[in-house]
Formats: sequence, C-alpha cells, structure tokens
Amino acid sequence: MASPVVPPVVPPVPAAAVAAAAVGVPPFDQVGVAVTPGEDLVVRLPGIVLVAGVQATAPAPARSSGLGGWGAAPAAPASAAPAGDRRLGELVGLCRRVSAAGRRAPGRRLHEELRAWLPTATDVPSFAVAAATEEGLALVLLGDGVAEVPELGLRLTAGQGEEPLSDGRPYLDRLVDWPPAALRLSAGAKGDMGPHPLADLEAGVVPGAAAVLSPAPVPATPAAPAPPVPAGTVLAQLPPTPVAARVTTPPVPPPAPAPPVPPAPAPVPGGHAAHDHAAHDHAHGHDHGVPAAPEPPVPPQPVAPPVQLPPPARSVSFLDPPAADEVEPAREPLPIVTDEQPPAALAQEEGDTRPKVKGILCKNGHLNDPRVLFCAQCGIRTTQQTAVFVEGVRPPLGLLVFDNGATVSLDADYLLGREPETDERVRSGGHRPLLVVDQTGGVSRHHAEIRLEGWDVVLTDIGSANGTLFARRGELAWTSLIPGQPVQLTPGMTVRMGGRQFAFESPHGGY
Amino acid sequence: MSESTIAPQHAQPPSAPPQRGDLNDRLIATDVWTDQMLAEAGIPIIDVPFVTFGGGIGSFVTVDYLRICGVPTSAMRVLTPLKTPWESYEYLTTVSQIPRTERLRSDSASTPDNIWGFPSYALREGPKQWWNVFVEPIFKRYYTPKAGHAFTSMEREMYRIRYPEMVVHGQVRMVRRRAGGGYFTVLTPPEGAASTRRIAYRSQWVHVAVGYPGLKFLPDLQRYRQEHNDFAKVVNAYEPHEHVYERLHKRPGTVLIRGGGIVASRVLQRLIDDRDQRGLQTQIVHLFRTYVDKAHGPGIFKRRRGADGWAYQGFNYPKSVWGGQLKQQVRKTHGEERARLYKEMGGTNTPLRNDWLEQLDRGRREGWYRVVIGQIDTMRPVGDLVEVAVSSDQGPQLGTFDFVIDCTGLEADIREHRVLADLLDHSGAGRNPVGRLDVGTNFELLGTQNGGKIYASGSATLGGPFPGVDTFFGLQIAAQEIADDLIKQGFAQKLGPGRSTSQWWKWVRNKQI
Repeated sequence: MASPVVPPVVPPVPAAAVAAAAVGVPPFDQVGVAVTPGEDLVVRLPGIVLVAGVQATAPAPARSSGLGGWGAAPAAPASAAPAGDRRLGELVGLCRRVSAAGRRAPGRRLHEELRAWLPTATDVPSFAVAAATEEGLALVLLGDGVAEVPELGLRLTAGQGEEPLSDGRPYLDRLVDWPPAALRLSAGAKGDMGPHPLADLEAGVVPGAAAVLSPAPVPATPAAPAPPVPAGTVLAQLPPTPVAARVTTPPVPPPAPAPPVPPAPAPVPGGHAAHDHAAHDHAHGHDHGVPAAPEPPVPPQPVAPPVQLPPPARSVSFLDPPAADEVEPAREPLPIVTDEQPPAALAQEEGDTRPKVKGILCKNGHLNDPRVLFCAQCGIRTTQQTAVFVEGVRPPLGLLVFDNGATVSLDADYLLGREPETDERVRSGGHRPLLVVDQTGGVSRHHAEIRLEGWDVVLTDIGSANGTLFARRGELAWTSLIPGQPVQLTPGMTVRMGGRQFAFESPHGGY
Repeated sequence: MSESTIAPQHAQPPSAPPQRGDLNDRLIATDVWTDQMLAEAGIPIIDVPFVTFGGGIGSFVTVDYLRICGVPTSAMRVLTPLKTPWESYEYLTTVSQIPRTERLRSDSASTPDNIWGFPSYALREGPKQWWNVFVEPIFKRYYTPKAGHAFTSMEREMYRIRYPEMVVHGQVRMVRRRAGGGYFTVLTPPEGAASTRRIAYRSQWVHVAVGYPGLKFLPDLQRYRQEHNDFAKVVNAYEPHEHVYERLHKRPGTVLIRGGGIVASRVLQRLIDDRDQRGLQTQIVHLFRTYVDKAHGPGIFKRRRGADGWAYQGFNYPKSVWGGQLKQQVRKTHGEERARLYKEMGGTNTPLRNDWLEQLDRGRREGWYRVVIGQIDTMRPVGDLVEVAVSSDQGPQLGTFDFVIDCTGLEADIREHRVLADLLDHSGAGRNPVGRLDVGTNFELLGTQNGGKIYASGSATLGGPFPGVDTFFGLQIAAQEIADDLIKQGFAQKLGPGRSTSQWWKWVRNKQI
C-alpha cells in the first residue's frame, strides 16, 4: 500500500489541440463524473459508470449537493441503501467483475456480459451504463434508462434499441463515440437539479439521480501545487480553470467530419477525424441515429488546457463494501473434495521452491525418513508396508538447542559465525545466517556450516580460527572437527564453538 | 465402521512399470489363489509349513515355544522388517522414557526369553528383589524388571534357539487362502534382495503377530504439525522428544503434560528427575481429561485405587486376567457382555511407584506442579511458545507453554494395518466385540480355516476370550495355546514333563537347540 510513488509528472500542456491529438479518446477514468441529487444509485468503477434506478424501498431524503470543496462526493448514509434489492446488487457485482477484468476498455465485454445475464434475470431495475471502449463509449440502457447530451440535444433511450428483452422491456446496447459535451446518464429520474459545479465522483457508489460525464476534468481543490505524497494516491497539479469553462470545453475528437464552424480553430489531425471543441452541432457524426438538433452555436470558450489526470484517488463508500480495485477478480469456486487427499507435504505445486527430499510415505501419506519406524506426522507404523520412495517437501530435520536456550529449527542450510551475513554463501541466498555471539571471541566470523543432505544434517567447520568440537550422546570426550570435513549430526550430539555450545536433537533418524 | 474397501494406499506410485513377479489385479481381487495364478504372475513360491510375520516379540515367543517343542528351524520362517524382535518395543519404551536402565511395567515371571517363567527376572536380579516379590504388593510395590534386562535375556534366547536362521527380511503384503489347502503369504523383500518383486510363502499355518498397527497421534497434534510445520514444541511422548529436556536444561520453561497413563508418569518423572539433579526451574502443568480422586470401579471386588487424578494399577490389567476369576469370566462371555467386561478392566491407569509419587507431592507443595482438568481446544505457536486454549472445569483457560507433551496413547484401528485389513476383506477374518481380530481360545483366527489355520496374537487380538494379550505374559499364553494346537495337529512334539525338564536344563545351560 505505502509503496513510494514517483512524483506525478504533469507535462506542460501548451494547447488543447496537442493534447487532443495525443490522447484521442479521453481516458475514461479521468473524466469528471458529477452526480446530481436523487434517489437512484450512481456507481463509478474503473472504466464504467452506472446509474441504476432504485425501486423506492427506502425513502432517501433528497439532498442538496452538500459537497465540500474537495471534489469527492460524500457517501450517502446507509439508510438510503436500497436494502434487499438483489438484482441491483447483482448488476453492480457484474460491473465490478467486468471492471476488474479489464479496466481500460471494459465496454465490449460489459455488453456481452449483460447480454448473457439479462435474459436470465427478471425485475432488473432500469439502468444506464457507460463504459470505456478503445474507440469511444459503450452504452447500455434498460427500461427508463436515458443517455443524453443536453447541450447538443442528443438523447438515447432504451426504446430506441433494436430488440427488447424477452419480458418486453426496452433495451439498447450500442457503441458510440464520445460526445463532445457532457453526457448525462440517468435511470429515468426526472431530476432537474444540475450537479454541483464542484461535484466529482472518482470512484464508488453513491445515491443520485444522474451522472454527468464531462470529458474535462473537474477542478479539485483550488489548485495549490501539492507536494508529492508518498502514498498510493497521486495528486495532479491542476491549472486553475474557470469553472464555467469546464463543461463546454471537451478536448474530444468525434470521428465525424466536422462541418465548418466559423469560430473554430484549425481542425486537429488525429486518429479520428478532426474536430474542434467548440463545434457542438454535428451530431450526425455519431452513430446513434438521433437527428441533429439545430442548436445555437455556443460562443467559443476559453480553452482549458487538458490535463492528464492521474487515476482517481481512492474514495470510500459506506454503501457498498470495497472499492472496485480492491475486489479480487472472480475465480472458480474451489472443487468439492470428497476423496481423501494426500497431505500437503506431497503437493507438487509448480514453482514450489521448497527443498525436496526423497522419503517413504506412511500409510496415511505423510513423508518420512526411510529409517523411522513410526510416522512423524501421525504415528502410524511405517514398517507395515513396502517402502516406496517419493519426493516431497522436506520437513524440518531437527533442532539446535543453544546453551542459552535458544532453539533453531533446521529447515534450511545455515552458516554459523560471528558475522555470518558477510559470507558469500549467505549473500547469494544459499545459506541462512546464524549469528553466534560469543563473549570469549572464540567464534570466527564464518565458523561452520550446517547443511541438510537428504534426511541427514551435516556439520562442517569452514576454517574457523579456534576450531569446532563435538561429542556424541553419552560421550564424555570432545572430538575436534577437521576443517572442511563434514560430520553427520546425530541426535543428542553436542557441538562446541568458542565459548558457545549447542545440542542437536531430531525426531527423525532413530534414537 | 466400513468394512468394504481397503484404506487408500497413497504410497503406490501412479504408474510404476509392472515388475517381474509382481502382484496383478487378478491376484489382488481373488480371495482364494491357485498355484497356477502365482506361476502366471511369475511370483516364486517357497514351501515352509509354518510362517509367522510381524517379527516382534509375539513372533519370537511363539517360535521359541515351537523350537522347544522340537520344530526344526527349517520348518519355520519369520517374515519381518525388524532387525531384532525387540527393536520396535525398545524404540517405543526408550522414547517414552523407559530406557534400558528403567523398569518396565511387567510381571517378574513374564519372561519372553523363558517359556517356564522360572527363574523369573526378580530371582535373576538378586536377593533384594526376592524379598520384594515375596511381600508384594502388600508391603512393597510390585517388582518389575528393567527394560535392559528383558532385552539382553531375549537376545541370549534368540541365539540359543537359532532365531536368526529363520528370519527373512521384508514386508508382508497379504495372506490369502490357497485352493487345495494352506495359505500364501506374500512377502516384498528389500530392494535388490531377490530377483522378483514378491515372494510367496506357501504354508499350512500362518501366525499373525504384527502388534500395534501404530500409534495414533491426536488430530489436534497432527493438525498443529501440518498447519505450522512445527515438530518441536508439541510432541507426542511416543516419539523422540529429547530436545524438550535438553532445552529445559538450558533455560527454564513451562511444560504442559496431557494424559494420565504410565507414559505421563514416566515423562513427569524424567522432568522432575532433571529438575532435581540439575537444579532446573521447570514448571509443570498437568492436564487430565478425567480426574480420579478416589478408588473406583463397578463393584467391591473390582476396585482400582486412585488419587490426585491418577488411576493406579500394578499392571496393564488386573492381575486376575492371567489366571484368576476374571480370566474365567471373560472366557465364558461373548458379544456385548465381553465388550462390557473389557471396558470395565480397561481405562487409563498407571502403576504406583513411590519415587514419582513423592516427586509429585513435592511439586504440589512447592507449586511447580499444577493440575488442570479439561481438554485442549486449540494450539498455536506464539513466538517461541505455544498458546494452548483449554476448556477446563473452571471455564475456558488460555496459557502459553514452552512445550506440550501429549502422553495420550491411542492405538490405531486394525484396519489401519494393510495386512490386517486384507485379512478382514479377503480371508474371512472377522472382528471381535472390541473391534479387533476375532480369535478363538486357541488363538486361531476364526473364519479363516483352509486345511490349515491362521493364528494371531498380540494387540491385534485384544477383545478375545483371553484378556491381556498385549503384554509379555499374554504373548506367552498365546504362544502356549498355539503350540498346543499345533501339537494336536502333529506339527510339533508334545511338551511333556520329560521334554520340558530337559529343555529347561538346556535353557539354564544356555545350550543351543
């Protein structure tokens, strides 16, 4: 979460035209989404904006857009949630899934998923969805859902769809270009109230009558240069933009050839047909079949420099549990297992880098040292059946008990010494360092190594200054370890290095 | 309890290439084999009249008896994976804190090395012990032999009867009846020891002495190991756990002991011995599931002493099961009634011995030995310690310990053993009221007769007409019954007074037979 983030680089954008040419389609997640007050539900996920009708279950008080100056729409209180509306929940869940599967352009996939899901579901509330595609937008309208561009007089309703749903409700799904002006999505609510000029939903689920997608960014806080924040959120430095200019200056190039419009600057060459931000009246370029309504030309507005907004900051919704980017992608349910499964020690997973060892299996499938009589895991006799050698993950082979009571479980190779971390074998990751602090100074920087070989534990003195001594269980005399010559540790063996001492004990390999 | 399928065998490699002389599906599925079927599978057949497998003390005692009854070594084979008859036994006693120098819980006259029981261990040990066995158990606690004493005397007897000549190493896979009489015992010799993967022993008599199918660690212990991959902090008393004592020697710690049997008393004694000898500060918490605070039992003649949580009894069984009224009673009962009798004489108990009773008294007085009554709910590692949640009689308790030593001894079901499961499934063997192999008074496995007999002795036959089968003395009685039955069938010579005396003198002189 708190990984350091490169400070945002906001390229100095000199002119809208350049940006429009470079961007082509405004990144969906950087358009401002303003929510108008109402009782329906507005959901914004990466790549998707959904407005769904709420069947009046809980009378949510119409709220004025009591937005602060921070841009994020506050979450509605939980009481306004349409409790128990299962279909709505499924719809939101579907959008989440699609969004999680591909947030950049989930539009086509959303079409397919909805087409697959809707015939199987009844009583789905009216909704309107806009989702990003590579070239433009994917719209889906159901029931009373409406998508309109008020400034251009464009209006799409579900009734314009080719084929209604099986239950007779009108349904439309269509790929369209980005309209050059604000797009208003609603589920049929007649909210006349416009959004608060500062309203901006970055992500989340909030109540509202409609969502107004304006391809220009919404001003966030009055632009004060924000210091880079080392967190998951990136702040962009926004140029101060006149609020009035916001809605009407989308740097969007619709694909249609632009009819000459007097006050327009030069057409912009780009992936799509050039189009000027100020030209609003050429709706015929869009393939939604709405006849272009003549509209009084809007006087040219000062062009706001388009800004590459960073991904939306995280917003917290109290209505709906996690934000879309926190939801794990849907996955297959785990298989129902009825048969007895061999235990995990044998699970040969790909990429399992734990060291393997060849051993015998007990009757219950636990991996064991071939020399033991009883399974270390379950206690069953291992001698009752033919020994079959199998490779599996090696269990810890024993325990070092140091003279101060510290215990070390031997599940890896160790390098013992005063400064074990400086050894090449430790630095390369082959051995784990085991620091042996000795007041007498008798422990060398790299004193000895303990290696696991098969089911055996082997101790080697790696050229220590003062040597290593060992005594097997019951032996009174110490034996000196010859440097470089490995000795197998047997249970009960005591090893002395400098002023320190440890004993080796093991549940494996006899008694 | 399902009797229908053999427990799944994980060990079979998924696609091992069929080796020469291996079992095939037809053999595995057929209850009664013909010689021809084995010949087709390429499995060589070795003829020997009497085969015993298991190879522990049960096999040893039976073979000993038959050797003394004049059966030559060539007529018997012991199929075993063990190096010596007591290997498995010594392993278990050693790890459960009865090393060779400590005393077993066995009667002085239960001498697996000597079928006569005379001279007993106490007589051999010295005059001091003569007095002990004379006044026990009224003025003295029962005498019991040292483990090492039993092993060394068995070793002597093993060479005297030329036991090693009869041993064939390997794993017994199954016993099946033979068409035309007798049995096939399929042995898997160690890799490289034979040219075929299996060898079949064709015999008229088979003796099953596989002993305990195994221990059964409690599910919570197994779960703890699997989840946390920690084999060190929670241990079973029947596995090597010397590191516990080693670690407590180095640094003071708190140990939770679970269980109230003889192993618990042995582990406690070891902990307190260490505490006393090395001046350690070990704190002990003892968890009893059932707390016995007074003498208990179903009737005035069947009472067992008890105090401080423990149930006391000199030996595993009331002494009357070996020759007293309880032996008669069990012999005459069947079914439910017998199961009830077994339940009455069963239950966890431990022998009274002054040394550790004194230790525990001292521990209670000084506060380093505490008792909790309840059951463990969960265990999880917390740093270097184990956090144990216990539902006790005082409500739920939570404690952290350096170690948990589980001294509950559970035996696995006989079906857990592959050969026993195969006997149940394919050879007509059945279960007795206690759920183990059903044997008759002559220790013949009921339902398996086929022109010969399968005998069984040891723990797998617990619940039969003779109780106490899983003790030294029980194994000897089983061997005697089996030998008598074989003598009747003409396999061995009658052990009359003359033979018995001459054989005893041979034993005394350690003369090889």
